[in-house]
Amino acid sequence: MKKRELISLFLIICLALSLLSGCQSHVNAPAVTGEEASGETGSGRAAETARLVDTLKLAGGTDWGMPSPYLHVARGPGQAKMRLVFASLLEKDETGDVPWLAESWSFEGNDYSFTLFEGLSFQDGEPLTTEDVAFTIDYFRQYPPVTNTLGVGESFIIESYSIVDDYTITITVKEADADTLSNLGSFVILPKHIWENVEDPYTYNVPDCLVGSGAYMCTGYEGATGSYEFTAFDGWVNGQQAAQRILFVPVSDELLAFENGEIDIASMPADLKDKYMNDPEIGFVEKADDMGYKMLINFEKLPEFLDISLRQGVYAALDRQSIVDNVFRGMGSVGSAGYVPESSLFYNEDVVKYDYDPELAKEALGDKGFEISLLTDDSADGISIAEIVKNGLEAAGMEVTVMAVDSAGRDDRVNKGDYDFAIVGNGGWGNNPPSYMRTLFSDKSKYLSTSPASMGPRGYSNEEMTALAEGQLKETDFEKRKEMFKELELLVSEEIPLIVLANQSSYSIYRQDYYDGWMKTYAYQQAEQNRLSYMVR
Amino acid sequence: MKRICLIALALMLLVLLFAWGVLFYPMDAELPSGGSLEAPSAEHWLGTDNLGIDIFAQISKGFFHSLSIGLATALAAFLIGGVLGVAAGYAGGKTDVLVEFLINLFLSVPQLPIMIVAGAFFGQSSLNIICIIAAFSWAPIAKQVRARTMSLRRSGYLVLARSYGGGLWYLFKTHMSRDIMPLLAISSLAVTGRAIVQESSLAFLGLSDPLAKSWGLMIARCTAFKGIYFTNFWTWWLLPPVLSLVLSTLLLRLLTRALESYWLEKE
Amino acid sequence: MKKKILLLLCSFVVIYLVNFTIPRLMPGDPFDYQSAAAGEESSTEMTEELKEYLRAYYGLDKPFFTQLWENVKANLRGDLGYSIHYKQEVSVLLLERLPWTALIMFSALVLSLILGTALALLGLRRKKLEGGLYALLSLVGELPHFLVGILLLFLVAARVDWLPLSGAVTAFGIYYSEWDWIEDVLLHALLPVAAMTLVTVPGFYFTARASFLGILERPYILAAKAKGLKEGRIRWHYVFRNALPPIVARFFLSVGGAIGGTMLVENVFAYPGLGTIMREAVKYRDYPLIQGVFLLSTLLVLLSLFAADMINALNDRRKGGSL
Repeated sequence: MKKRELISLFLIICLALSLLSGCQSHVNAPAVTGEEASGETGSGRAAETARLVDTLKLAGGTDWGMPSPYLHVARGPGQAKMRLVFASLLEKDETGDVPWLAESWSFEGNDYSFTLFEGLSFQDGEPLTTEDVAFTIDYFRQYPPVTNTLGVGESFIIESYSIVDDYTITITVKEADADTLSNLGSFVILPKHIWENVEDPYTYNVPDCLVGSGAYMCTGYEGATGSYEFTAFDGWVNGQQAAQRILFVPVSDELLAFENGEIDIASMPADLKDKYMNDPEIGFVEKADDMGYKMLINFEKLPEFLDISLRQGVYAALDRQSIVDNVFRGMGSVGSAGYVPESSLFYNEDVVKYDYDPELAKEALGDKGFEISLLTDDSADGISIAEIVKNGLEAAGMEVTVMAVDSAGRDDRVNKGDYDFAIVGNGGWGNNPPSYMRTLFSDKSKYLSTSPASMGPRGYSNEEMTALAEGQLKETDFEKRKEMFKELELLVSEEIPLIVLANQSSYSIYRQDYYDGWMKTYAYQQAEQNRLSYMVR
Repeated sequence: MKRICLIALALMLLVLLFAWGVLFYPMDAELPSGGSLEAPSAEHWLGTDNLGIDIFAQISKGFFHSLSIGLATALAAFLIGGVLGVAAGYAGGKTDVLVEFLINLFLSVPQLPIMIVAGAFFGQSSLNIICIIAAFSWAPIAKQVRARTMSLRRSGYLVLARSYGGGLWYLFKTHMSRDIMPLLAISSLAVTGRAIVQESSLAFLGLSDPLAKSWGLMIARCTAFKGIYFTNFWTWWLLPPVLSLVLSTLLLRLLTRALESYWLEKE
Repeated sequence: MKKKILLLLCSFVVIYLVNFTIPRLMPGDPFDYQSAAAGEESSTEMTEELKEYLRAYYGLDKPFFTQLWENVKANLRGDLGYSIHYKQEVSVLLLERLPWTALIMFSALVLSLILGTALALLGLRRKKLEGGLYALLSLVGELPHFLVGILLLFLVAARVDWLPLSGAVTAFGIYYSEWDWIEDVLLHALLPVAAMTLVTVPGFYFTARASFLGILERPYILAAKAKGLKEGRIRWHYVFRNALPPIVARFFLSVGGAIGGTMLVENVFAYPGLGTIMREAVKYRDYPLIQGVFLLSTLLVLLSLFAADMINALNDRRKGGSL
């Protein structure tokens, strides 16, 4: 009897050990070390000399999916990793569109022509031609990728294309507007020779799906630990990669890892700002006002608030500066009533400003006996903001119950209109142009997106606002478009379709003497997610 | 008996301390009353958290939050476990088979995964947390009560009383409650302690009421704070909720133990 | 025995149904989450059309019972479905994570079993020690796993250079031999296992102690003593061997609690096991993944319960035979 028990115990231990070792070798150290190694891998070394640094290490730890167009997670970091491996026709720098796979481009009416660089190849060595671009368009029409700028089904923006030669392709869109070039420039190109045989791209996860067209190859990915390794692709023709390898390493504490030199760039907590600001070795990337919080009023449930004096009263009731001071720890600004944050190129200084004025608020809101629920997500910041809003509104004579649910639950309620007041926070407020203004304030586009971040106010409509929000998209002249945005902001600040609470800025810190190439594009502030941050420029 | 008094006294002291913290301590548990992450001082006994909210005030409020969740859960488990246990043990037959199945079902489910899913599903209010924890606490109580009732049912005086036509409620009140009530009460007290721990575990995973100043939530916030390892913030931000949690759970546990052995001796 | 098996099967069916239903009733769906950039930077947004397309692709637009039926059929084929968030087969994801959870859990349980039994044996010899041990362990056993984990994290890991704070292996670590790798894994597992073990040892100690005391009262021990057998021989041949079955049964009974504990401790140490992925799956409303983790842990627990029942039954029969 006891033998059997002992044996079973032994078996369990063996099972655990065998599971653990996974029956595969983990030895990966180079066979030889030191100078000998560089001699042995001669060709690889020669290519490396052009790089600024050998490795760039970033904080990983989260699984953002395989960096492939159909497999990455639909969030900024997942998309950015995919875009390192897969290239699109154009890229953006600080001021405008720049060549990426396409060396030059031109457009006239609905026709957009792109001419590719010569000598382009995929990471498996096969040449990349306009044939692949055309294939990708057809393939994306049939199977929309995770990050999709081309639209789905009826709203697919491309009408047709014609291949001029191996290097030039003309794409005809259904209706050209201000965003068309950006949309056509940013879809990633798939290798035809691999994907033409793939029937179900959403489950195609063999190594082939990582053969990309970009400047870096994905040479290591482990989902469970959230680690990624990208290696510079020697066949890339448009410029030089800045690093031989980019690593996303899981870290327990980002800042601790940065201090220990385990990673090269980290986000900085507000409370340690002074410490790093005075350090000359530390460089900063500021993401000004990029995160923003707004409060939606559900006019379908609370039609009383269609009276503008009540909305002015809500603004007067809120101590929005205390959100910046206490929740953002000073890193941010009080939101502009015109929605576009102050630091944006498109900001209109003339927007109406609403000050914290408890007396005024009491006059407008008091004795009306409003009882509302305030929906927020359950993040620490979301709840703190909700508490500040609640305190302000209650002081003005309203009854407020805060309801905090997890973000999926919050989104569901906002999308379905199941709320009175709702606080929604999201990133990307610093993007230029502020194309989010259209889905927020146009009656026509309000429900196009399914994200509460760009969900417009329910039960509110305004023709003038709609005309401006839709009109800017058609305007291809930059200065005129900017003017239209400013006009829209002014109108929004006067009419108050929603309450803008506050914007939060964030900083990334890095060691200047090691690598200084981190950049923001004119449209996107996340340096860690921009491809040009990893190129010699 | 002396031990029971001692432990109860310690618990009372804890309750008084925290009651004082809620009622008379001048700092607010909801609003910032100082700078961010101030070290303990005469003004802020245990310092402040990242939002500048006083920690002692939060701990005090958290105590009553935890305690009320624990007691409410215990009450629910007491009622469900008691009723089902007595019913199964007394009635036997089909009722017994069904209740036994339910007991075994709830005893065999992996609790934490189902709590995570249920917590996300039912929403994160305190009431839901109570329901979820109670759902997983009644089974052991019911099991004990059922066994006890069964053995009582066979005892001579109950058989006799039943033959005189005594109703179930009468039988329970006059003959069974003396034996079953202490058992129920002690098990429920044990549930209180366990519920406090489970609530804080769920809160740590972000699945409890996010508005309540619960200890688990404080712990979660602190451990998620960037750069916490190379500052000494954790000594006043993390340790107080951890120690309070440990202290109150242990005191409750000790009390349960002491009562248990007291009751056994009396038997 | 048949009744037990029937009960376990019924439990399994009920749990399976609950597990299928609840995630689908949760507010929000997997595509909502993907399209909502709550609190994070993202320029990807989904239109309602794309969401419809994906919903149809994953079969989530079908009626509830059709989904259930197809799910059962797929599961019977061994197909756990496809994770919507991670775009991977659920079975692949689970196989990636299971070894780490199993490592933590079984190491902790085995260690607890050995330690618990050893402490109980020690207690038998030194009565003085026993009182303190009993009081101490009965308190430690009440602590929640995650608290012990956090205390170890802050009091030990953050102060000691050679102990990692999180993870299961050093990222992109370089290993000169297989032993280097094993050492790295063991270092990472040390604190999570310690946290688990501290909390589970008391259970084993009490079981072992009760079992030993029970055996010591048996007449054959008295007979052995009367025969003048050596103390050590009695302890080993009679007491230890006969007391073992309940302790081993305890091992299997502990699996249920240990799974929950491991999941919490994993979250403390950011250990890449089932606990961390479960939490993410719930956050992202990734139905197939939630179901997969759940199914796996349920199976593990039910099988362990079954094993415990078997051991107890065998033990009872043996006792019945020998007495």
